[in-house]
Parts: sequence; C-alpha cells; structure tokens
Amino acid sequence: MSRYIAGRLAQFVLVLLGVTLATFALLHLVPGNPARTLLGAHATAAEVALLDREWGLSRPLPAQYADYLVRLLHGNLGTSIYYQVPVSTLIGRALPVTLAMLAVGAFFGIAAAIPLALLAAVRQGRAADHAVRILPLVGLGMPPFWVGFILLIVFSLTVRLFPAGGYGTTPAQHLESLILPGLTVAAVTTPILVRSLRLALVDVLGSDFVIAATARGLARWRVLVRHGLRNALVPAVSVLAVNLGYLLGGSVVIENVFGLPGVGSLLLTGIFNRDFDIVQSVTLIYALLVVLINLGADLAYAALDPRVVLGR
Amino acid sequence: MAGLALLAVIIGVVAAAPLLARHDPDQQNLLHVLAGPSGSYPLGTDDLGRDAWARLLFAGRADLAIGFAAVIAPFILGTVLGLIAGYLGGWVDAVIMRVLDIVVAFPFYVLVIAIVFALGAGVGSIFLAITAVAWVSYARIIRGEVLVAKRLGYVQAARAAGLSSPRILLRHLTPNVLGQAVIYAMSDIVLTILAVVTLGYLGLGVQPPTPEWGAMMQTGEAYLSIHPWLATAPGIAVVLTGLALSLIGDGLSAELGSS
Repeated sequence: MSRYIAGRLAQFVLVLLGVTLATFALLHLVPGNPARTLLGAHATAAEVALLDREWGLSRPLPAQYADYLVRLLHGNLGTSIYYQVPVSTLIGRALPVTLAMLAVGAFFGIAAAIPLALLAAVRQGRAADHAVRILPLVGLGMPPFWVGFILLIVFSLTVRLFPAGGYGTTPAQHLESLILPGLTVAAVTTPILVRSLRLALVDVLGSDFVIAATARGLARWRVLVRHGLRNALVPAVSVLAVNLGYLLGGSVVIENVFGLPGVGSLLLTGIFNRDFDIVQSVTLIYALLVVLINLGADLAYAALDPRVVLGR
Repeated sequence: MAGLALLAVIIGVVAAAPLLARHDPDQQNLLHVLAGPSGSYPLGTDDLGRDAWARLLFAGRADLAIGFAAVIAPFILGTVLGLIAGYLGGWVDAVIMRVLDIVVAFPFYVLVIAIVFALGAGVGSIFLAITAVAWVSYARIIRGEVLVAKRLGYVQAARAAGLSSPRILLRHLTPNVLGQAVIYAMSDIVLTILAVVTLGYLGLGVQPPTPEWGAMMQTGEAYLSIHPWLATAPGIAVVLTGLALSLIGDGLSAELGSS
C-alpha cells in the first residue's frame, strides 16, 4: 500500500514538472519575439525591452525554465500587464466561483443521471431505455455555450426566474446566479454519466448477488438502490474522473456566457487583453486542478477498495 | 443507417448552399439589419444586414471541412506513436506515455485555447493545437490493442518466421489494431467540430467575414433577447451534425462487435 502511494506521488511530481515545462513552452510558441508580438504594433521599443527583461528572454532556455520553476515555487504566478496586479491574486478571487459552479453542476448532473440510468437499466431494451440511450448522442454534440443560450432565453429572458448574468454580492445572490450555469454544466455531465451508469447498472443487476437478493424476497426498489446503485456508482464516478479534463475545459466557455467571474472568464479576458502571464498561469492552475483531483481519486479509491492492485 | 441518412442530408444541404440561399452570405445591407424572418430571408438578417440563412448554410462548409480535416493528423500521429510505444516497449514506451500523461493533465479546451492564443488566431493554429492535444486518445487506444495483439499467434508466428519489425508493424499489426481507433475517430469528429465551433465563438477560429457557426453564435449572443434565432439556429445545426456522426459511430461499433 505505502509502495503504491509512494509510486503514485512520484508520478504526480513528474507530471507536475512536465506540466510546467508545457506552460513554459507556451511563451516560446508565440511567433517572432514574444514580447513584441504580444504587446502589438503600438508598443514602444522601451516597453518591449522591459517585458523582454522581465521574462529573461535573452537568457539561454534551460536557465529561463529554471527561473520559471523557482518563481513558481515562490508562489509567483507572474503579473498581469493589463490589471497590474499579481496573477495569483486574480486566480485566488476567481477560483471559488469556478469551484462553486462545478459543485452545483455536479449536483444537478448526478441528480438527473441516477433516475434516468435506473429507468433505462430496469426497462432494458424497451422504449424508455432507447430514449435514454439517445440522450448521450444528442447531449455530446451540444456546444455548452449554446445550452447556456437556450437556458438564458427560457429562464431569464422569457420567464424572468434567474439573473441573466453576473454573480451578485450576497451568498443568496451567488447561489441564484449559479443555478443556470450549474444546469449548463449538468447538460454536459449528464450524458457521459448516464451512459456509464446505465452500463454499470445493467452489469450489476445481472450479477449473482442481486439475483440472490431478489430471490430472498427483498423489495424491488431496495434491491435496485441498496445493491444495484451502490455498486454501480463507483465505476460511473470513475468515468466522470476520467472525463474531468473535458468537463473542466467546457466550464471555461460556460462562465463566459453567464458572466461569472471565475477562472475560465479570467483566461478569456487574459486572451482578449493579450495578457500572457494570466493565460500561462490559468492554464497551469487548470492542469494542477486535474492532476490533484485525479491523485485524490486514486488514493481514495485505493483506501476504499482493498482489491486495488498495487502498481498500474 | 439513420445517422448516415442524416449526415447525407446535412452534407447535401451544405453542398447545395448556393442553390438553397437566395442571397450572398457576405453581402451586407446596412439598411436592412436585424430584420425578422421573411420569405426572402428565412432566418432574418444579422447585425450587418447579411442573410442569416445563407450564412448558416455556407458556415456548414467551413465547420464540416475543418472538423473532418482536423481529425486526420491526430489520428495518424496517435496511431504511429501508439504502434511504436506498444510494439517496442521499454524506454521508448515510457517516454511516449509520460508525454501523454502531461498532455492529458490539461483540460482539452484550456490547452487548445492557450496554444491557439500563443500561435495567433486562425485555421492553421486550430489544426496545430488540436493535433498537439487530440493524438493522445488514439495513441492510448492503439497501444492497448498492440499490447494485446503482440501476444497473439499471428504476430508470434511472423516474428518466428524472421520478418523485420517494420514489416510486422505495417503489414500485420496495423490492419488488425486500427478498428477501435476508427470507431473512436467517429466520436472524435463530434468533439473536434465542437472545438472548432467553440474557438469560433471565442473569436479565435475562422476569421470574419467567412461564415462559421461558432462566430455566428458569438454575433447572435448580443441579440439573444430580441432575435434569439441568430444565436440558436447555428447551434441546432451543430447538434444535428453531432447526432448524425454519433449515430454512425454507434452503428459502427455495434457492427465491429465492441461494447
């Protein structure tokens, strides 16, 4: 067990190093002199030289990377050219909004997926099952921001139930502002979740212990929930973890549609203002989030399930 | 079958765009902006007085062409790397898999958006960014298939017969492991079209005035309350295209006998 954890942590550190290498390389993907290209045609030579020096662009690449790592280890994520504040301050302000939106979205997604998957698994091969199986095919082709438009038109512009954008100032307003974005996140999550949960349920419902439970005369709903759902949730949630990167990425655009001041909106304002340090650091934070959640999920999984084999 | 029929209709409509639209998609008419739907303009006009219906049809050309084309490079790159990693094993495998670990650590959209930003908006950047990120799924699938196939009789036999590695890889392994990657490619086209549309919506994709579904939705977003169809109609086109491709992918995987 401890060997597994040590190995997993070593892998975590390695991936983290690789991730920083990738975000470092991002600056050097910029064609020409990055400082000149990013500042645009109106920048003076002095401004370019200043940014050049700040980024250490004239130093050899390995030294630049080492500087970058040292800077990151000090918690320095760079400074926004546009806002003139440390990027870490901006991210610290935005991250809770993004996490809250994802939490609301995950709640809605799971709340919708469980009854749908149960319905499909119980009515396997019949009309209800076919209807539920079409859902992921439609759902996966929907641009998340387009789902946001539809929800805005229906619940904000037609029926004035929820605000059309912004985040409000009080916790109650925050929650109110998160309902529609949360539903949009759920629209992306539910299809993936329903598909895997249905497969897992069909699998579990055919297994011996469920048949035995039915034979013992347990109530149908009890068999379904206590024996079926409980055992099907683990593989279903791990599918969600595998798709985490995709879901997190989709949330970037959703924040933009609803004007939520989260990390995704920060990334996009960074792009529109050609604010490189914001783009680089937000990209890094997203990867950190994915790697951390995956590590947590793996460790929790190993702790919970004694059958998890050591190693990969 | 339903998927193929739907896709055929979509491609047919898009191909026949000049016949089905009465106006030039780029023709501005500043005296006739944001008009409601009418006989001559089925979806009304956009903020520059251009025919929204004509733009919707012509936009399909850009999105479908880029979407399909942008799947090819990741497919090839991922397949080659997956074959090499699975067949050679050892340190080559280790290096390829560690690079893969790093790429999947980033949320797909975040990395694609960041790369397109660094390279500068445009179609070429989209191709490069999607290729740099999307190859990992193919490499993973192919590597897994190769690891299984390596232990099977036909590969063992080819090796025992003294055939060279490149020959075994190309003539024996590749045709046998490609199936799963082809199935995945069908769902990947949906994701790729979504990515192209999303980049267009963010203003990082196909540059104006070329009509593109994502860019049309960006324009329409400002008029959501008065002219909702400007932003919603291109989305419906995307959903229908995605549904057609997903149905084909589903049928294909059932045909080739995998779950």
